[in-house]
Amino acid sequence: MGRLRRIANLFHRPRLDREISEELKAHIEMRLEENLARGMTAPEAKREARLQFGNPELVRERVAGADADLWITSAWRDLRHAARQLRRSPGFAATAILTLALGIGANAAVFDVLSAVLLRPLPFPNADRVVRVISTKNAVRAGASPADVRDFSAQNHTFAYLAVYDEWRKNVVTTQPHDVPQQQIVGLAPAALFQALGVRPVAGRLFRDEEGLAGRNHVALLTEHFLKAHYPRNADVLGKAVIINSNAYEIIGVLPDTIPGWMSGRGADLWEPFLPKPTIWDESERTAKDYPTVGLLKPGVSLEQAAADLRGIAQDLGRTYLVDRGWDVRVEHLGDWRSGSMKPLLLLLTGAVALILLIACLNLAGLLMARNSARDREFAMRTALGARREALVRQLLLEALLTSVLGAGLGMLGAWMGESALRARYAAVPQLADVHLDWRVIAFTCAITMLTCILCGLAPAWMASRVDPSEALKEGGRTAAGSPRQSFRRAMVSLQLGLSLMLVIASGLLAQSIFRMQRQDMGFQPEHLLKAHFYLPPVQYGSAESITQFCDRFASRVRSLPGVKSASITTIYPPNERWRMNFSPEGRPVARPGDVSSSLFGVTDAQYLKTLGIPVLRGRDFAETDTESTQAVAIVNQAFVRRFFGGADPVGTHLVMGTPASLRMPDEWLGNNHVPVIIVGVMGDVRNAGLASPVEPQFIMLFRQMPLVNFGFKDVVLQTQLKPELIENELREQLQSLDATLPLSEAATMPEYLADQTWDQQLTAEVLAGFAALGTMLAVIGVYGVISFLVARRRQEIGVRMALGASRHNVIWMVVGQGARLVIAGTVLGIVGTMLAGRGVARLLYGVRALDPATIICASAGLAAAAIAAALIPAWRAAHIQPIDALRCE
Amino acid sequence: MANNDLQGTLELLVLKTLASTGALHGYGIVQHIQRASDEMLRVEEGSLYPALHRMEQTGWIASEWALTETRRKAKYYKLTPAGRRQLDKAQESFDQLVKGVRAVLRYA
Repeated sequence: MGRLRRIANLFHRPRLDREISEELKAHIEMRLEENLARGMTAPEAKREARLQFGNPELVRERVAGADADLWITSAWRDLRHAARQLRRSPGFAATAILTLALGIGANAAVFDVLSAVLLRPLPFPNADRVVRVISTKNAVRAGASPADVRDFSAQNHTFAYLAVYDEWRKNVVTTQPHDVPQQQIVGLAPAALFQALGVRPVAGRLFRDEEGLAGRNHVALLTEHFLKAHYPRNADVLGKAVIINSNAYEIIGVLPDTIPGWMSGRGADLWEPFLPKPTIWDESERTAKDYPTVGLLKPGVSLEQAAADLRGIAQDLGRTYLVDRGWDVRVEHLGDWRSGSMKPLLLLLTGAVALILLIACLNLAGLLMARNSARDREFAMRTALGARREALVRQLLLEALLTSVLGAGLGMLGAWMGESALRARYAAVPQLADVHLDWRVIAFTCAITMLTCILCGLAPAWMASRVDPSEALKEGGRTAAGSPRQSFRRAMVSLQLGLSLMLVIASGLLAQSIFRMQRQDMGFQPEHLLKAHFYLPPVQYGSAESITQFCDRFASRVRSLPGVKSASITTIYPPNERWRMNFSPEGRPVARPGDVSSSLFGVTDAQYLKTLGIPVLRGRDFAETDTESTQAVAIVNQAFVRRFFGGADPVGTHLVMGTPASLRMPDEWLGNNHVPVIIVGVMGDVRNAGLASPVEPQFIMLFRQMPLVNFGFKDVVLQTQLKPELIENELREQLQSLDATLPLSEAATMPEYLADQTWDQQLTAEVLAGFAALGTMLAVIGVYGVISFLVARRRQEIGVRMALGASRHNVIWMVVGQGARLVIAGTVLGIVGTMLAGRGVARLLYGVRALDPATIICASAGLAAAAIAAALIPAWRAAHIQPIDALRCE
Repeated sequence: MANNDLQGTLELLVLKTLASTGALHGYGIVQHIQRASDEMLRVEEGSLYPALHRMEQTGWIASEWALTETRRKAKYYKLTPAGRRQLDKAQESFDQLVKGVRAVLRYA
């Protein structure tokens, strides 16, 4: 009965209160009765009873406090009280909530990206057993060759499935009416890949083993994404045909959209069996070690065990095949691939955003302290009336909690909106497509909200509860607690300034880095260049001659377009080139495979250097007289001359392409053929290994003179002043007027393409700049707050000074001097912090040092100026204090 | 007596009182302790009720509203089985405390 009543009373605080009052009243009255019975008079009896009992209010509170059930209701009461307090000072509430919203929201957003890229488990069953196999040699990391993987699969004991796969750009058109040919990314994979990833078809079946052989491989799997884009709803596509590179493929199944884009570089919408070349399983293909390889470990097998297993097989292979010698094998979790190059930047962002939260919390703590000092009297009175310290602290903490929660709510809203903007702006990055709020982010946000609340609320609450009632209640009394409080606030503002300075410096460094990278002299003229890609499928263009003919016809049409200054058909363009070719100087035998020279390579037409504006420094450019029937010629770059000729003039030297005959090792591209070549010119260095890496040696030839590597993949680059959209359409028309089945793809201006190369640094720089602005704003507001408070407290003193003859300027100097002290302390802290963090940031910079003095000085000066300006406002107000008023008002 | 240091002793006295007398209200407990100790112990009433509510929370005593002899409504408390066990325990530890203090005082 008692327990039920208590639980019922939980929800009815007034009734509980009444019960306790009744109980206590009964006690007093019983004593009263006894006193009367003993013969006291009524008033005496009453007085004695009261005295004996003590202060009923106090007792009531203590009883209520002892009643643990009531803790909830009193917390609720405190919460309502806190809400009322916030409503009463909307200015403070708005500032506080906004500050926290910014701090917490920014953290939630960054953590979200972190979660999507690093923490979230991969979307496959058994994700912890899905691994990637990597071959390494001399610090070069690569995939594996198909022949290697065939041997690994046959001989290993540690893998349940192991698959090598690839992706190609192919011309695809469905048999649906009104469908036009488009370039699609087509994945080539055996069934083992899908089995390793645990991806099951939603319709149809996976590939069979015999479909990986030449002549049987014209079957295809569609993804749901492709299905939705090209077919009506609920279409039954199994058995229908899809045309890939002018060959008809039978659709045998549909896959769900689980395989993420970053696994294949861009995201394959269709898959066919793994057979990129008919010769892919020949021994000559062992050299090509760049195929991605993924596997599923058997349960209970560790990464090291699997690596050791494969390493043993690799070493056996190395004994049999020269080309496999010296290659080590590593096995890594697939998840590590996802974050890739983004990791250091993400960590930088995480650090920055944590700093922002710290600044925001410090700001809020300062605001709370200032606000609490105005409520000193209220606290003093409550203490004098018997309120316990814990109750006061609890109430203030609840106020901080309420503000934190409201701020967090607003912040999450902001983060959610920011995410949509992020996904839209960086749509080309597959890892970011996955960014969305999940339980992890929400849990993290709650955790940091709690942390924030404690950080902000505890110190002020503690200080408020130590108010001495006698001091505070004195008429006109200002708490002596001003001193420790003020120095705490000062320290916090200095810290804020320091942290903001660090952010501003970092942001400035990164911005300069990007600027330098993009504006550097890359060795060619990117303005007014447009590029696009097309592919001539072997079914229609089976011979090198047919490809050359088509390219010639297309090029002449493009050059005759109005507005096109020059055009070139090529297979390469800067700044990221990867095609490497082995070669050796004629007449110099090479003993070991490790000694074979290789360099970056490419085939183009005779207009390439002219179109890109690359200068010819020695010898001559390609000419129309270099044809299929004349001697094959090559042009090398300066880096090539430095590496292989020690700076001597290479013009006229003969080279042999392919692996030297003495080694009896088939070449990846040329097989057992050797092509003699003569160097006719030296071109200027052009960035070819990325925007931030030194130029690699490279040589280029004409595709018409290299039929063995004259493939259907071609790019067209042209120089034009016209608008890119117009030219793109014209290009497409011209291409399709020659062959209507050919799509034109990857059309972009060169400046756009170059900007895309630095997207991750750009993102970081933009976000950092935002944080820096935010942090500075918060810190400057902090300065303003502290100085205002200072002026308010010293009003009397200032009045006296002015009455005694101090001029306005003196007062302004005095106040601004206070501000300057804060700024100096903050600047010192910021510079020290930057020096400590310098090494971490240096890795991400290009062309600018982490401790670049110019940046540091500018940033410090800027921040100082802003802070001093903030201090000037109260200083100006102070200077206009009327001495009479100041002295009068206590 | 009856400031927080000797809170445990107050609880012991309350438990023993209720064990001896059955159900009793707060005022009655005060009177009983006073009488049983020959006026040597006077319970500070401001501490009694918080203690009673605490003990009710812990489950050593249970409460019920009832009428006194003078037809007044009052809250009566009585011992629960858990309370009886606690009484034995508290009595034992109090005995030990006294023995220990005595031993120290005798030493010298």
